[in-house]
Amino acid sequence: MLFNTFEFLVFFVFVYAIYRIVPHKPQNILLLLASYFFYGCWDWRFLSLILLSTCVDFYCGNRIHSSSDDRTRKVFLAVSMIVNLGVLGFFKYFNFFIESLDVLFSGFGWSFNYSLMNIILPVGISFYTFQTMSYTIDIYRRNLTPSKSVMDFALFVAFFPQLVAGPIERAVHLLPQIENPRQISREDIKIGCWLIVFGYFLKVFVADNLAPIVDVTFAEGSAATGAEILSSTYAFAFQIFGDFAGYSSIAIGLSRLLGIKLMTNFLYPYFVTNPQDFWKNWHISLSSWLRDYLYISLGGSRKGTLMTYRNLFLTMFLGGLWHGAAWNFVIWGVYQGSILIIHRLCLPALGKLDDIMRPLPFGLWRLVRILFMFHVTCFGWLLFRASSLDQISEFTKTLFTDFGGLSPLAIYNLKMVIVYVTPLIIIQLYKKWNDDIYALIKLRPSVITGCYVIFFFLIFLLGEFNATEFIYFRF
Amino acid sequence: MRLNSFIFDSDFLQALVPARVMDSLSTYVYLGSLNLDRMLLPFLLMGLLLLLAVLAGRKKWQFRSVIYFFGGIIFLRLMLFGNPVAWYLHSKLLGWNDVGFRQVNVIDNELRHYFDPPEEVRFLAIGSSQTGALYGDYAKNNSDLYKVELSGLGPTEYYLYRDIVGKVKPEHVLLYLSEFDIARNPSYDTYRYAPRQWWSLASYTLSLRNNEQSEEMQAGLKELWIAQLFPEFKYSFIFKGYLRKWLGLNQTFERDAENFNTQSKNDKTQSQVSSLKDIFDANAIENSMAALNYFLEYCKSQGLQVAIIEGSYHPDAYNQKNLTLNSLVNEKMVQISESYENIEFISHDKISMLLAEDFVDGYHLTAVAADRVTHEIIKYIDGPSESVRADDL
Repeated sequence: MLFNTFEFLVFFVFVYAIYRIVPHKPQNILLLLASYFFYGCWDWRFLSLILLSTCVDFYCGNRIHSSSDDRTRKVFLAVSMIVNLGVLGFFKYFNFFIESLDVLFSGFGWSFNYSLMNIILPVGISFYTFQTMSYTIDIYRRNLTPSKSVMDFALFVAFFPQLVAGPIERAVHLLPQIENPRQISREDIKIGCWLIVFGYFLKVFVADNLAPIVDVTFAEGSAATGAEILSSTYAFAFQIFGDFAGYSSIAIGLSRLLGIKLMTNFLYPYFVTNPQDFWKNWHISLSSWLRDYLYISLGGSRKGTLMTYRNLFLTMFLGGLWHGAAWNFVIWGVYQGSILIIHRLCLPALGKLDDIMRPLPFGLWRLVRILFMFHVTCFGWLLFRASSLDQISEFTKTLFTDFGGLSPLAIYNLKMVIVYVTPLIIIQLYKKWNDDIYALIKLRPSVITGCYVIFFFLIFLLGEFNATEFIYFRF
Repeated sequence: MRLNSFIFDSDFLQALVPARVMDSLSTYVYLGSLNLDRMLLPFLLMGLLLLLAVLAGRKKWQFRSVIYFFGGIIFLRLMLFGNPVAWYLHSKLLGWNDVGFRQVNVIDNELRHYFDPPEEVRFLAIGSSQTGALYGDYAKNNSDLYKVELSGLGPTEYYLYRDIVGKVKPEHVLLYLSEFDIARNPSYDTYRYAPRQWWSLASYTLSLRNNEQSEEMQAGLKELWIAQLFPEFKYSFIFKGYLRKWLGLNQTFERDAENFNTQSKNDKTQSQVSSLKDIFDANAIENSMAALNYFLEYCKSQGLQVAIIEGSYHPDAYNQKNLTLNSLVNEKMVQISESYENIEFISHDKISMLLAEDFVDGYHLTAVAADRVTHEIIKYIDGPSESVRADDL
């Protein structure tokens, strides 16, 4: 069941109507049942994986907390990690590793017989696995006391608005909101409704209208020109933002209507001037998860410059792999790690350059930096979206050595990008200008109502309703 | 709901409105200025419910916001697709290469809603472009035949357009049907363009679902339901069409249009004939017949006579498979005509034989052949009744 379907609308209205009239405990039971139903609509068999993860982490969390013996605590933490990562590894990476091993061995002239298994990737497995792992790690680090109720914990794992594509919540933040009675304020409803409508705008108006452009250029065997690749990559940059930020916005909005505040997942990733800021604005729940549970566990920046670079690189490499079992995601991760390191290396020089260029009028220097960073990000998106390694090398070659002129298709792509991205840019600029993601809802009620009417027409008149699932469902 | 009406001179209208819209509107009586009923009521109901909820909370600013929101949307709806000027502009500015064949027909029919049909219509022909080609010239010159043409309209959709039948109230409804329509899997993506259905939509949906469970049908029905509540969704093709047109983005349809216009008559015919040899599917018959029955029941309840004329396509496309399907469909038609008193089936053998030169392409008749066949059909219907014919034999 997708957020952008009529079925979901009916489902949510039904759940919400009951939710508003029952007390706290039945509310949690209702949400848990609704969450399992929501997930089961996709494939009920994989509910068993969520249940497994729930039981193991609930048990391990309790054992880690109750034990004073460091060894026992480590054992139960390891059990939790092995089960979660084992399930994730099997369902997401098994075939990828087998195939990659075969390629590696054949390079040495060895071959081994293998057969790939027909494994279906359970929707949202990367998201809820990371979420439940944070629970046991936080208990191990003594940042959290375990949940007393298995039902509340089960709801934390399976909470339907963010179950399949995040934001990846922390137990420290979400569990108390589940365990304690919730008050739904007027502000919650106001913000919730706004975020839902804005999310649909991002998904249906921005992302799904740009998708066909991207699909044509990145199709296998595509012989796109440099301008076509560039324009399609621009389109993809906004498609993936609209798609993923749209999902997050709807998820956060739905939760807000239920009285639960989820963490912000996206800010202004295309208005930043360096890769470090990009990761503070893009998929914040994942980047902060990787920072807190991987980068810091590896030593962070505490063990000298070289180790910091190594940790950055490893974190982004694994972050890339988290996105999917394919080499282009690995390369994208490596690319992200590399630009983070390069940025750190260049910081002194950039500082000097900043001092020289800052006097330029109208914030021109800032604009140049934003545009430069946008193109650096876009090249990353090319790696991310490419359908094969051959396509990466072919497109890179075309972009940098054989760009050519503007073809009619490239002009078409650019016009589409301008039409569908301009309203988004205006909204983002306004929010950024006010340094407040809720700036628009702080306007006069009549202006807000006008915005709702405009969104309503943009979504229904120019939205694309034939698109299928959200991109991040695959991860 | 017609808020007011104006009387226009027919010559003035003829000069103003695109010819394809006026085709079979032989007399123009008046023009309703605003048309609210097809989009307003369910929406007002939603607004009313929300207002009640807000009133229960006694928040004055919320009350104003709800009024503004719904008022704003209704106002924009009226501006964009609730008045004849808007539809006139859509009809004038958009062609099939901007929005597609069916969509252009939908725009034309929306504009036609603002005109009264001729007062005494004897024949109402409803169907796809085949029907349009068959009755087009006759309808232009004779006020006794009113033609409703929607590209690709098949039997599974007839019921959705019954409001036209109810409005025109002809003596005879003419359907041009063969395996071409009955044994072809319907294209459900056009369902959303259907007019307002009101309560009968639920039973119609259930009856369709009883016969078929395909994903395409489920999606088509879902879109139909959504379009009933949100005309913005239904008419989004118009604004995407403008966008494509004004930004020079109409690549898809333009390419089709270019192919369509540059293909020689012979090439076009050949490609359509070869596709006709392979396109029909016996599995589609049951579903089509069930939906057709639904429409025929409606005609019966309105006391209308229905003439089902056996449709034709290019003779070269009749291979063994199609001939088998043809006799299967004809059998069904005979059964229907025997089970309903108000239905008559006019098979090929009751009108003159159609030859290859009678077709302009794979399935549309030339103007000359169409005029001949139309006259034969009318003559046949006006002739002695079925029982008298049987007695003669």
